[in-house]
Amino acid sequence: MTEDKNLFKKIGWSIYKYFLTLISLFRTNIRDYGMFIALIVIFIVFGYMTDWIFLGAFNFTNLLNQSAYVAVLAVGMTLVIVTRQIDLSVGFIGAFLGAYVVVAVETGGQSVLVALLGALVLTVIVGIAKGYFIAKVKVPSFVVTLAGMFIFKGLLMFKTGNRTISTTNDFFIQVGTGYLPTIEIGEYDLVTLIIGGFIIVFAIMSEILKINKNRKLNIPCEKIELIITKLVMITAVTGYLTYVFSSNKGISYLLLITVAVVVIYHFMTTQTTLGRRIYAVGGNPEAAELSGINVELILIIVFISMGMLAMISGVMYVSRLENASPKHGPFWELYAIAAAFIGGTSAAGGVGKVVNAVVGAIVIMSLKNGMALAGIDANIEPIILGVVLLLAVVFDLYTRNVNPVDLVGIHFAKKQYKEEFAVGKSNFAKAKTELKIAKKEDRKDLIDFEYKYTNAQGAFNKIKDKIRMSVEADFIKKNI
Amino acid sequence: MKRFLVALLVLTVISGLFLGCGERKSSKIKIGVVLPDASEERWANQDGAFFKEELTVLGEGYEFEILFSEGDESKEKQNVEALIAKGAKIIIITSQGSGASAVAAAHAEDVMIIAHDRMAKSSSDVADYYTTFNSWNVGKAMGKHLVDAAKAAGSTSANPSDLAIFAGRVADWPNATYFFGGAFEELQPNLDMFNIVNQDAASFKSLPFITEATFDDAAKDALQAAMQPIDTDWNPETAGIKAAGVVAQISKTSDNVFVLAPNDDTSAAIRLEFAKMQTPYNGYYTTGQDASNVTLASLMGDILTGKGTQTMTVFKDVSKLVKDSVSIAKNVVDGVDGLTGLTSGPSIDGAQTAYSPIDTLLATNPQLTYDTIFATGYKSEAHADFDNIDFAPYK
Repeated sequence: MTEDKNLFKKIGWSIYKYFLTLISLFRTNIRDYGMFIALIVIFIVFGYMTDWIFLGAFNFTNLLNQSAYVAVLAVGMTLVIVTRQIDLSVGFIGAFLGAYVVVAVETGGQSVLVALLGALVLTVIVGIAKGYFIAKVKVPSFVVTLAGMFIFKGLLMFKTGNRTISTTNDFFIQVGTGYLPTIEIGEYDLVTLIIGGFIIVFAIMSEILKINKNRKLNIPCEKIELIITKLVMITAVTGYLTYVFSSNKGISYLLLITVAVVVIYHFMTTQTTLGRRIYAVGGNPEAAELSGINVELILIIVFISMGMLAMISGVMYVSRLENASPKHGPFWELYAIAAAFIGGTSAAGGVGKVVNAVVGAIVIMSLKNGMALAGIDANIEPIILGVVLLLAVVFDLYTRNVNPVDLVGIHFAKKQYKEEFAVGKSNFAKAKTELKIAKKEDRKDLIDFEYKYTNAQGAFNKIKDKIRMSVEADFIKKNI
Repeated sequence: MKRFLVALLVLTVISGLFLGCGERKSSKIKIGVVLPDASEERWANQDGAFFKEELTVLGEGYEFEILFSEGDESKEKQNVEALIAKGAKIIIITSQGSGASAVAAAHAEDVMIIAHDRMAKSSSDVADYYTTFNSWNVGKAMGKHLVDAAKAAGSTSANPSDLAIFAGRVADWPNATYFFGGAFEELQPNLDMFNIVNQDAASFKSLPFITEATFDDAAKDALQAAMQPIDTDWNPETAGIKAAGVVAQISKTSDNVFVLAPNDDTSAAIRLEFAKMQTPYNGYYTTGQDASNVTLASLMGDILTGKGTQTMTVFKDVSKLVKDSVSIAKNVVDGVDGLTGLTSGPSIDGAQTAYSPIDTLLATNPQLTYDTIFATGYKSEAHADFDNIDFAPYK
């Protein structure tokens, strides 16, 4: 009988420990996970309001296609904001470059490749010019890019001759509205299923390899519960997306381009020295300069990269709408900036993940998409967008100084230090009341009481901190 | 304090979502409507209101949804996709740009498109139906008014009068081009009794004689090329800038001036610029369109200083256009031919077109204005804009 009880206890304890670990991970990394929670909340709210059409395959695919151009801009904008700059010109630059490619192909008769190369050359020149003014001449990026916004608005009107130019070339049609070639089995697309399955297998394998590597090198690896949870989540999300895409039309080229951009930029920012240097320049430009990083060059590179992403975004936009027009361009940069901030990029610089900015872009587009589906008055939409942005930034500020927390360790520590904690608490309470009485009676040796109060408070805080800082590892060794 | 603020913000978001939702209607719809801009008078208060009225009357089995694109073409495509996701069989759209992406998105899902007042087409595809007023005739009415008024004022080839020409937004195809083309059909044979005061008069004189029947791609290119420098973008501010440019280089040759203004709003802005001249013209004759309140007031005899003093406007009864669009939509949902029971005409760009009638209102005939607008209750005599008018003689 006692054996069964022990078994139950063990199982119960494992489950309890699992949840504690999960919650501590969540609290520690709340900056990262906060916006995923927001996304899930938005999905559920709009799903409910639209009888679940919102989460259906057709609308979900449309949602991702609609967010594609904002997501690409948000990736570039994250790096710009990380380096403590801002770029207000990306809207009209993107629209101009999109129009440049369309005009070159449609009326100029150039091949798509030549037109794209031409646009790329223009982008690099513009990026160098912007970076030069901002880094070398030290004009604030706000002013330089604001000037750029006006200049490119005019150039856009010139380029399009003030009329809309329809796209007829197959390239634009494919990029804007085309999907990867599909093979149908039943109602589902085989190609998408294969890709989805492949991603899941890849994720699991890479985790296993990482665990093995860490074990070999004797690096403490993440707790096993977390790894399993992460894998389950990744499998669930990828599985759902695979289902959504395979039952609709497959993977669109817009999505493919976005994913490619995000993968490249994620790799660049987390695994290359260039990425590290960008974050260093953003976190502390003076220290970066003194450590030998060429801050000016980094800034120029960041603005060139922003320009290239603006070009990609512009081409995606004109392809999706099947025409280039002088009316395109306004507000793109504002959506990109909002997406970057909702994705947790810090306004003070040095902090910001590219993948999260994409999630931010999806959050913004889900709001717009969901409100259109639910038939909400168009006038309320920008109000809601603004409030969500404000919430995101406020959230970012309040969670800036979050200490890592380990609830399992705290659980053990509370048990171990129970007496010390109780003693400290009662001492503190006693000193507090004594001080209050002494103040009322206005005694001459008031200062003694104040000393006692401060000492008791200090001791109590010490115990509290000891408990708060305890980590599971401290206790595992002891419990052996 | 912190928590209170956060809670307040979250509450605002959620309440905004639910407030804006309105009545909880069923999510599935049959008919979708996409209008360009909720902040423009026409789409919010005229077409938008009429659509709501007409579609609500249809009742059960014809569920509908009206969405606005807020001047953003990307939002327009989003709206079309949302309507399709909700099950719309047919979408009525007044496109923001060229409407190409909307047509493509709808046809990819076998949903029909009715272009309402503005054509929606891409390079390879076009809307299924198009409802419009006969824009060419609107233009002809404008041109005819200028020619008649000039003749009445004693203008001849020996004694030409000054003529200033402006056009609407070239990108608004086919409307602006048809207005201009129709006006020029009337003006071109009589150009010798006018002295064109625009900067590049020669470009207008070199236009050939074009009628609706002979309108082809070459004619379209020629007309649009002439319209480019005088493109007012349907925007009073832009019209004012263009007019100021013309006024700055005018050398008057006559006492009267005749102005081809594309609509009422631009006409008022152009009038303001002409009024700023050192020695303004004695006689000012101008065209317009839309029958705005200010114009109606001046046609009924009220000269509002500084506002558009117009001698003519074209009244397009938007409610009739909306009725046409709704009828086509109902026909399609019922499974019969779209144009059953409507006045059809030559198809434009390959879309089956239904035409609505227009009325020409002149300053010289206030009785007609009264009968068409006020007697039918289209606009109310009690409105503040008509305070200076005495309606008694017309009743």
